[in-house]
This record gives sequence, structure tokens and C-alpha cells, in this order.
Amino acid sequence: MSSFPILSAIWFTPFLAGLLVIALVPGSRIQLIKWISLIASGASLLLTLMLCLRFDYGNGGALQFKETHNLIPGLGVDYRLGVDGMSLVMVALNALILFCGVLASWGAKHRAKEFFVLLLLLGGSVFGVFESFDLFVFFVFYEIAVLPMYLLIGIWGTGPKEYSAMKLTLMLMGGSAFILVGMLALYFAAAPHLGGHGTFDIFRIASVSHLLDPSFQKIWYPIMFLGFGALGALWPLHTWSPDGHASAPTAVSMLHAGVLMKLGAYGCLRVAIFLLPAGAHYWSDALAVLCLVNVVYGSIGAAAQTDLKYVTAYSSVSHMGLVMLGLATLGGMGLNGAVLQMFAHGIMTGTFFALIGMTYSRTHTRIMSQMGGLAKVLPFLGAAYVIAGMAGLGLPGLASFPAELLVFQGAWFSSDPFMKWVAVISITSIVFTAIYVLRVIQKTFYGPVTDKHFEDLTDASFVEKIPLVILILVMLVVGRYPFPVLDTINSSVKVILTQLAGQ
Amino acid sequence: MNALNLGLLQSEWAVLGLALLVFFTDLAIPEGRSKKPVGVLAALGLCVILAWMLVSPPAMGQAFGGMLVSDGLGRIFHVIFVAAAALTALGSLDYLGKAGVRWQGEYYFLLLIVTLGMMLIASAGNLLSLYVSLELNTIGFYVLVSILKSQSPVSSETGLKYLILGALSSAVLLYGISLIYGMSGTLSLSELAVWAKSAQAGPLLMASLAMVLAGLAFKVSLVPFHAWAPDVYQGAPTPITAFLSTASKAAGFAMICRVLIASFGSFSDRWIGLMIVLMVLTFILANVVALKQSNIKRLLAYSSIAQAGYLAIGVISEAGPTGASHLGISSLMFYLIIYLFTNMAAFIVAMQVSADAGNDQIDGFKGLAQRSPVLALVMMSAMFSLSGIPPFAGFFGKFYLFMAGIEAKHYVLVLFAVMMSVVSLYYYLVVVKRMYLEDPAKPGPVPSSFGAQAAMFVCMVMMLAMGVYPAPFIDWIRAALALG
Repeated sequence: MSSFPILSAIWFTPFLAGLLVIALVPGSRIQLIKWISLIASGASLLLTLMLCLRFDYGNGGALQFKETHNLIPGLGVDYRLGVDGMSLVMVALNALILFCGVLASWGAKHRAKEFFVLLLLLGGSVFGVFESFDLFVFFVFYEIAVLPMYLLIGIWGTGPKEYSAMKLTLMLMGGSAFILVGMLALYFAAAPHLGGHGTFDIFRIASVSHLLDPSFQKIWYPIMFLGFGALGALWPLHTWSPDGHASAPTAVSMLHAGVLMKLGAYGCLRVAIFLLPAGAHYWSDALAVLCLVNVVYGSIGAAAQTDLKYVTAYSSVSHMGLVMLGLATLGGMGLNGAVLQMFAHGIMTGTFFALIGMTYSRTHTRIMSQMGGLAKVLPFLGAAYVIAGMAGLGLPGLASFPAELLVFQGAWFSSDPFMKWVAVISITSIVFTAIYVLRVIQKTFYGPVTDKHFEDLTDASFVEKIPLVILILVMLVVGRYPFPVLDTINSSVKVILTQLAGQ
Repeated sequence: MNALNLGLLQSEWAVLGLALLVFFTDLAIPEGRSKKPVGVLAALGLCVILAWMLVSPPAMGQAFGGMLVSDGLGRIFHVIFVAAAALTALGSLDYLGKAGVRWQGEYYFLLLIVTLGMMLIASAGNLLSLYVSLELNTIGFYVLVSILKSQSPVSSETGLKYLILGALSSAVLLYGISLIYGMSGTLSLSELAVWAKSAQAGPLLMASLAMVLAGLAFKVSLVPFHAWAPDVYQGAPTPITAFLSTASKAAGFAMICRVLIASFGSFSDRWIGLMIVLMVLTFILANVVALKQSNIKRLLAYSSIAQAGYLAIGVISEAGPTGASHLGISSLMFYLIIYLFTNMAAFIVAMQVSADAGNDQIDGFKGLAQRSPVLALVMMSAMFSLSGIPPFAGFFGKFYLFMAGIEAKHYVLVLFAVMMSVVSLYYYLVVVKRMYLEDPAKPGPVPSSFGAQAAMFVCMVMMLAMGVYPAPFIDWIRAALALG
């Protein structure tokens, strides 16, 4: 069993299912397509569960379940998969969201075949990013993950979907243009220190990154960080995010806000910070300012919205700002908080978007002023929304609390006095967050039922309840017992801290 | 040195033989009968020659007293030309009938002669034989691009435009060559390389190099020598446009490899600067103008102008100080091959769609995903491959070129090129949008012929294979070029 390529199986299962569906199933057999998608994402989830059970947590800083095959020997490109503590958590997040996303799309009818194929390709490639430890393969998966978004939003979206889809694709591809060039520069800069043989192996480049010229690092670090930052919705590169999320269909918003944005933050940490530590130190203050704008501006932006999806989209900008801020502190607490926030925000925002989709399919509006008293007719959805909202506020007991606390602490206890100011200002975002979360809950779910038609609505069906229950349970369990997850994350954060200290 | 060595030119002989066979078969079929057998013969013959070229051992040496050389570089180009011609012939089988071309037999004969001209360009060991081969190739093209003249007046206009501009550029090239001859006293490319090492970079030499560069830039359509391309691409029969945009561009790069890199590599620090100026202009103009196109052939024309800019990254990397790794030439060759299959795929789909819509407007692609999912999938793959998105071959092709560029420390240029490829993504996505996001304007699938389907299948397989697992193709290229 030890030789079973479990990581390949995890990313390839959704791909294989997608290809099988393309090749063999006629588009009219929607039910069959749905079941194939569900089984494939369920299989990935089960494999991930198995991975979690067999993972050696005592040695979480090292790569485990390694698979290595030469891909392009002359260029030092290898198919190199593995997981460490941090990527294990992210793989688990993706498995959960993908499975729940398929369930949340159970009602899909319009061009369902193409929809599920693209959804599976999207999910599969995100697994690939979190599992790759070769820059080239990492980048290939990264690009494949962005691509299906164009069609997913453009075909099945709502509102100005073509505009949003184009904007999102171009901005994210613009970001990856920077990554591509930075990656190649890194390759050629590291090659002389590796005996003249270039490699894209992340850990081998990391082993010589202290030898890289500091001025080289200072030039390329911001290029890499901003490149990944585009996908992490770093201000001012975030503008694709509200439009994209608001236009996207439910499952796509879930996957995109829940997991795909984390690819950006993950890339910042795994590639930019890990491989260019001297550059990271040099730029940390400047980038912290950008993250600060994210946090505060995102929360104020969310408070000003009237459309439920835009509220959640702006809140994602704000919460991703916290992730990025945690990264910018470059300290143990900040980095741990950032990665935990990636997980917590993924679960939380996935729940939000699933809920909004389910509500919208009933009320046919997402404008808050047109809703009211929905908790009376939709008690289950209402309760779920309140729980997710409380997580968004950072209420103790839910997953976001330890994450946000660590990020703020990380900034406050940083040795850099400038970070204290950043911490103080960023904490004000909590107030705005409270405003928009409570306003949404009050306006849409409480008060009298404003529209007669709403009284005939039916609450969540069994299929709809499954993803909500799963996600909320995870939110509660991780909130109540954050330490197992944090320890897992910390094992790989320690490796990165050693790297940062040894610049 | 003076031996004829006719045996070294096996592939050229084979194509010439096929051309004659096609010519006489055409004569044997009486006027008024279907000329399709001629096309089938040409297509099959080219496939057989291609297969034989791929398996036969390479023969190295010089023929006709050094006028022609047979080496690894020429061999790769020969494979590209013959493959392009085979795909073009396959795509033409039904197209010619639908378009109502009267001279179908002559069409295939000329196609083969043009291919032969390109092959001789790639084998040229002397500036004179290079120029003569170039004329053999372009004169054939003048006829081919205007072969629709009885169907559309645009076609004659196209032919004339191409003739005038082509003749002008040939004249400039020839003038540059004559100046070089005046200074060096030799036309042999290998002797020129020796001479160039000790030559002074005087104003006359620089002027002649600039003229040669201008002539070659016309051939590969680098801005500002690109003006012919959009009109010719639009007016020519679509299979010929496809052939022109792939094989003819490759022939231009063959000349650049032979003349600029091999013979005048020692002056590379002088001409690389000029080339970079042309590349930057190309990236800006081609990508920006392409954004506004509504005709698929013009769109692909501007896209192919932009692609010449990317290919030139391989040239300047190979000629630069880091040329010893030969990443430049390998990536150039790799990209030419993937570009061949990608662009062919796009044009063959465009051929079917335009025939169905009755015009070349991008609007004809509306709802193609719902009408003919396979055609739409091939077109989408081609669009993504052209814009350089994995897992399609275009991604690795561009990645490889950029790698060569970064090795040669052209950081800013490469960053600019990558950013412009994001701009290009917009117009490629516009086609995808028509196919996938919009609803069909008319019902029913788009009919496609067997020849086109076969060609599309080959292109699709190559686009995926070279994108997902490029290693064997890189090995093949580097082995042919005798690089480690």
C-alpha cells in the first residue's frame, strides 16, 4: 500500500471523471453526470481522509507521500508531488469544498455536462497545486486552475457575467505572467549554486536561497508576491474578486473564494517567502500596508453593499487581507494564523456562498432590501447563515477566531514597531465586519416577512443540507479544537521560519 | 567539396517527384471531371514522405559544391514544411470544391513546388541558392494566394499586393546580399562566417545587414514589415493562409538561422538591438490591433504577426552570449513545430465554420459549442495553445522560449512579452466566448469533411502530447541538432 500513488490519485480522480464524462456520457443524462461527479469528488475526499490518517504528524515539516518522476530531464523539471503539514490542510480544505460544491450544484440543468466537467477540472487542478513541489508543475496546475473559471462564470453566471469573467481571467493571467518570469529568473539564479544544473525543485532551490544575491531577491520578491497576490486579492489587484464572485454560479463562488484565492496566498508563502527570504524581510513593511488596505477597505466595502453576494465577496477581500497580513509579518504567529485563516475562511466563505445560492434559488433576488424575515420560512438556512456570520465576525468557538487572533497577535508582537500600527489599524476592521454581518442577518432573516410570496418557500432539501452540515461541523470542530490543525500547520511553518532566519 | 552528392537531397527529390506525379495525374484526368484524386494523391504522398523522413537515418554533407547543405537544422525544417503541406493538402480536399476553385490540379502542384522551395531555403549553403529558392517559393505563393480570383475580386487584389510588396522586400534583400558580396567576395554562408569574424563593423556592413534583416523580417512578418500579412491572409484561400502562416513563417526563420545566426553571429551584438526594436513594435502593434478584428482570418493574421515576435526571442537568445546552451535554437524549433499544429488546427476549424456561415466573420462561431462540440473543443484548444495556457503545447512552447530569453538576461523584454501575451488572451477569448458563451445563430451541426477531421485529429493529438509531455520532442530536436 505504501507505494500506492495516493497524491496522484487525489488530483487525477476528478480529471479522469471529467474526461470520462466528456468522452462517454451524452449531455442529456444529467443525473448520471451528477453522480459521476459526486463519486469522483467523494473518492478524492475519501483519499484525502486516508491521507490525513496515514500522515506522520510528528514529522510534518518534511515532505511525505513523495512521488518523483522525471518529466523534462534536460531542464530539471520533475513531476514531484508530496505533502507537508501546511499543504495537507489545504488539500483537505479543497476536498471538502469540492465535494460540497458538487452537492450544492445538484440542481444544475443548463448545459450540465460542461458545467460538471469544468468544475471537476477546476477542483482537480487545485489539488495539483497544493501537492506539487516542483515550480514548473506547480505553475502548470496553477494556470489550469484559473482557466475553467472563464467558462464557468461566462456561461452559468449572473449579472454582467461576460465582463466579470474576462476581467477575472485577464487579471489572474496577468498575475501569473509575473510569476512565470520570476520563476525563470529564480531558476537561472539558483543554477550556479547547484553545480550548474538548474532545477525547479522547490526544496532544492530553498536549500541555496541564502546564497542568492540579496539585491536579486529584493528585485524579484515583490514581483512574485504581487503575482501571487493577484489571485489572493491583494489590494490594488483585488478588483476582479467582487465582480467575479458576484457573477459566478454558486459552486464556482464556493470553490473560487473558498480555495482558489488561497492558491494565491499559498504561493506567496511557499514560493515567494520561502525561496526569497531576504527579499521578504526587505519588503515586509511595504506589503503590510497593502494588506492593511485590504483588511479595512474590504470590510468597509462589504458594509456598503446591498447585494448579498457582493457583501460576501468584499468580506473575502477583507479576510484574505488578514491572510496576507499574517504572511507579511513573517513571524511564527502571523504565518500560522495566516494558514489557519486560509482554512477557516475557505470553510466559512464556502458556506456563505452555498447559502446565498440556496436562498437566491428560492427568492430570486439577492438584494437585501427586497428580503426580510426569511428565518421564519427558512429556519434551517437562517440558522446556518447566523452560524457562518458569527464565524465571519471571528466569534470565539468558531474556526476564524483563533486564526484572526493569531494574525493580530503576530502583527502586534512583531519585533518591528511599524507592525504595531498596522495591527492597531487593522483591528478596526472588526467593527465594520460586525456591522455588515449583523446588518445582513437582521435585514434578510429577521423582522417581518416582507414579501407574501416568501411565505410559500420551502426550507433546505436533504441534498442541500448535507454540504451545510459538513461545513458547519468543520467550522465548529476546528473552532473548538484548533490545536491539532495548528500543530500540523506549525510543523511546516517552522521550516519556513528557519529559512527566514537563515537568509 | 565539388561533388554533386545528389543522394543527400533525398527528401527534396521525393517532393519534386511527387510534384511531377501530381502534375501528370492532373493532365490525365480530363477537364470537367472531379480533380479530387489529385488532392488525395498529394496528401497521401506527403504523408508517406513525412513518415519516411522521420524514420530514415540523417545524411550529413554538402551537395552541388556547397550550394546546398544537408544537416540537422535543415532536416527539422524539412519535417515542418512537409507536415504543414500534408495538413494543408488534407484541409484543402473539400475546401477547393466548396470554394469553386477551377485550377485544382495546378493548386496541388503549386503547393508541392512551394514546399520544395521552402525545403531548398532550409538547405541553402550559399546566399545565391538561398535567394533563388526564396523566389521559387514566393512566386508559387503569388499564384496560390490569388487562385480564387474568379470567385472574389479581393483575391486578385491580394495577389497583386503580395507580389508588389514581396518583390520589394526581395529587392532589398538582394541589394543587401550584393553589398555583402562586394565586401567579402564570397556568397558561401560558411565562408562568410569565417570572414565575418575578422571583418570590421563599418557603416556599409551595418547597412547591408540592416537590409538583409529587413528582407527577412518581411518574410516572418515582424512589424513594421508586416503590412502585407493581414490583407494576404484575408484574401487567400484559407488552406493557403494556414500554410503561409505556418510553413512560410518557418522558412523565414530558417533563413534567419542560416544567415543571421550562423553566418553573422559574430555581429550579433549589432543586429540583436535592431531585432529587439522590431520585436517590441510587433508585440505592441499586433496584439493591440488584433483586439479590434471581427474577421477570423484577420484576427489570426495579427495573432501570427505577434507569434513571430515570440519566436524571435529564440533567435536573439541563440545569437547572444548565452548561446552555448542552445536553449534559443531548441526553443525556436520547438515553438515552430507546436505553432504549426496549433495554427493549422485553428485555420482548419475556421475553414469549416466559414464555409457553413458563408463568410469569415467571427460571428459565425456563435454557439459552436452547442452545434459541433468537437470543432469547438479543437478551436478552443488552439486558442488556448496560441495564448500559451497549459496543458496545451503553446504553454510549454512559450515557456521554453521565455526560458531561453531569461537565460540571455532579457528580463524586461520577456516580462513585456508575457504581459502582451495576456493582452492576446483577450482576443483569443473573444473567439471562445462566441463559441461557448453565446447561443447559436442557426441550428444543426457544422458539416466537416473527412480530410479536415483527420487533420484536426492530428493537430489536437500533437497539441496535447507536446504540451503534456514535451520531453521526447525536445530530445528529438536536440538530437537532430547534435546538441547534448
